[in-house]
Amino acid sequence: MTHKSKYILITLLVLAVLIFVIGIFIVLNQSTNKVDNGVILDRISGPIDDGDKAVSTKLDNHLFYIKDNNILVFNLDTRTETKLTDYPKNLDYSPAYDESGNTIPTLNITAVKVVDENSIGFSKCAIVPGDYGCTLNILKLDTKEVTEVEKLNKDSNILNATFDSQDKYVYNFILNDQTSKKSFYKLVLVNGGTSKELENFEIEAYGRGSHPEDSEELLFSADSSNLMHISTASPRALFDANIYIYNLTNNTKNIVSNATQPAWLNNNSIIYRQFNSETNSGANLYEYNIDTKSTKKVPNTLENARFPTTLDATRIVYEEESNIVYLDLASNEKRTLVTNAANIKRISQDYVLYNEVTICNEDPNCGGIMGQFEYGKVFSLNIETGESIETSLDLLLTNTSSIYD
Amino acid sequence: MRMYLNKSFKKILLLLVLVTGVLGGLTQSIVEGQVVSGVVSYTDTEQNIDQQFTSSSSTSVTYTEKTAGLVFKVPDYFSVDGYTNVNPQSYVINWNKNIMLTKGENISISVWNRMDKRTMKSVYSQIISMDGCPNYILGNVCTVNFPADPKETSAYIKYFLYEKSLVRVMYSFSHLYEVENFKTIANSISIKSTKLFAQKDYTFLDKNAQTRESMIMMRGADTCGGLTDTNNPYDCCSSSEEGQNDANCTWYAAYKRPDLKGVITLYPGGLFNQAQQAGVPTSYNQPVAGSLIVWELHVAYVESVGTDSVTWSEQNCYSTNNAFNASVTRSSYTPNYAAGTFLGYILPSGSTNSCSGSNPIMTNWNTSGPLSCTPVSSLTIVPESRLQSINGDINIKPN
Repeated sequence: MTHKSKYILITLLVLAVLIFVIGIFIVLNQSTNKVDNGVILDRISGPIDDGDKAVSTKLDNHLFYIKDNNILVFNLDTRTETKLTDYPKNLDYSPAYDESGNTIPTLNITAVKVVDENSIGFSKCAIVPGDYGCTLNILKLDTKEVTEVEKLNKDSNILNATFDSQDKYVYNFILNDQTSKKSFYKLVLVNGGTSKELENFEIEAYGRGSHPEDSEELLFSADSSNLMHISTASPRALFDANIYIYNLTNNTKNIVSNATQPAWLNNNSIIYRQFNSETNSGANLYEYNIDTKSTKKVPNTLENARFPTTLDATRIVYEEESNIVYLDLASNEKRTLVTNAANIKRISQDYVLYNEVTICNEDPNCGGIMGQFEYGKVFSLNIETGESIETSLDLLLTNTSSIYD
Repeated sequence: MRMYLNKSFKKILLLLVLVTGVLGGLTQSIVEGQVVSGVVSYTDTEQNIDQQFTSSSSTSVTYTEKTAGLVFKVPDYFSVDGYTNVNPQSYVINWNKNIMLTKGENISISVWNRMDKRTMKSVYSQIISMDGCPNYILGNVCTVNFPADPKETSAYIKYFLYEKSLVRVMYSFSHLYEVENFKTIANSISIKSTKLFAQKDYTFLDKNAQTRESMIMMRGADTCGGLTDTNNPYDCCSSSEEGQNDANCTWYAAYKRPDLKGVITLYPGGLFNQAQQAGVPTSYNQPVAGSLIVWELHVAYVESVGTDSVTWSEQNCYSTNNAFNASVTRSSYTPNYAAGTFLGYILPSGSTNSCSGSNPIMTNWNTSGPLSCTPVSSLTIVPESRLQSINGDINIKPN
């Protein structure tokens, strides 16, 4: 072998190693992006991750909600409302019977959640005496075909559910065991047909009226490795101010105490409102890092900053003084987008919806049991320009779902 | 050339080693990032424990594990200090237990406390000389603090031992106010250990507390919003905390509808489903006096029904509006947006839209069907010619 040939051979060998190394890093980088982009393309549940500038989806500007026992979708672009299911309206009375004496079930649709661009999940209870008849279902948006993916025990009353994919989802329910005359709270993860109880404990009578600091969330992280749950009115306590974070990889649970109204900021951290059990009130926004288990206060937020909604890993919108406020966590840029507004619902990278509110100012005939606001119509808000436009929707946004939930 | 090749190969090898090291380091950091130490395992639960308090003495307590019929006596080294009256408005309970475990064994501890009107000051355990302390090390003592909720504490933690360890479990709490209302509902500590109990799980109940069976009976508050109901299953919201009223809508609903005790046991939205599953009559738009009106986040009692209005009374925990402190009558606020989605009415027992048995006659029809059934001992059949209409009602003409 000549000197030149050897030199070429060595050069080729070095180049091959470099290509191999570069290839490995490209693969690693692609896999990372796949997780992040997967939030958008495969299942948009939770926030967009670090560095990910939102990718448009065909479900941008779509809002899913329940009305008159059916699931509907509102398209902000076309301003049209489409009915996705065709369940019969409940009879006025329950129990009700048909002409043959058979019991007619009472339907209760809840937990409508976007699964991916092509489907949504929801729970349906068809209640007859002795049987809650609760199921979890997937609805294909193109064909409107509904597939039952889970049927619960007749004594199980479903509370909430959330979907990572069509075969990975979580639901919680109360089991009123008629044999033992005991009641149990259960949280169940189903993954690829395998069920696993994340929680299972006996409960007794529980319940109370609403509280201004209440929060009810059951959400996978963007990479679906963690599950976050909060239910401040849970059977655990009159006000259960704990965020339960289940690591689905190593089967562990982390508890963030004195907290309410959480939202995923990215795969490793959540943003939430602190709750003080001594004063029974919340204050300011905080960020909790799952890996380091450290908490830090979000600067520039006032004491009554509430209900943070993630735009991306560094930008949020939230309620403050009955206003919707934009905050860039990286640059600390803060600006009020709109006044007299609440119930933020993100529907695209550029828009959120909100309920217009009237402040009661201690008017005893205003605001009902909470006595603070009267909620009004739904408006769309352009985050960049701050422009608000009234929509035809007349509903409370708290029980609605978009692909960004 | 050989020298050159050797140098080149060394460089390549060095590069490969570096690449391997970097990749290895990345992998290691990912794995470590998934490990969350000091957290609660949910692979086990404490609800499979089913012991019953059977007797007690000043030095020991005997329990019977009902499933296996195994009688268990608390050993002497498990001390129950009992109540220590530090001052007229303070109680302290301390428990201590030492267990020697070896490598590979594990111990899990769960604590359940539920008391009426009390403040939980501290519930904690200590593990001595244990490798892999979950939270932090204070001297050579690893201390884990259970979350201390003012109203209720339930905690569960599991330690996996990596070396022979002396484990001391300490449990204490104190109560600092309202002595006259002090009522221990239940305090229990469950210690599961592969060492002591050979895969069996045991619960230690505070001998001063109630048994689990009696805990259910005593669960709810006796007095709420100025009303008394000793069998009410619900709690009320303590007035001792700022922003709370001494009232609760679910407590008031059970108070007004004692026939539903044992039937409805859930939060407002859940109890509507629960009533339907239990066969209790419900309606979406035909309330009658005595119904419960149910929202997703609230429940109230219907006092009367007018031609186009419903008047109800209610309690509420956390209203900023003083009018809702307790047992007030309201009919004017917007139901849907004030308390979540309106769900319907839970009718008085006996209301039905299909009649059978001793109540065979359907009366008071509307377009949806019969609204009530009437028990009759006889049935009168009259010709149509004897019917008359008075103000829209059909009546039988007098003879």
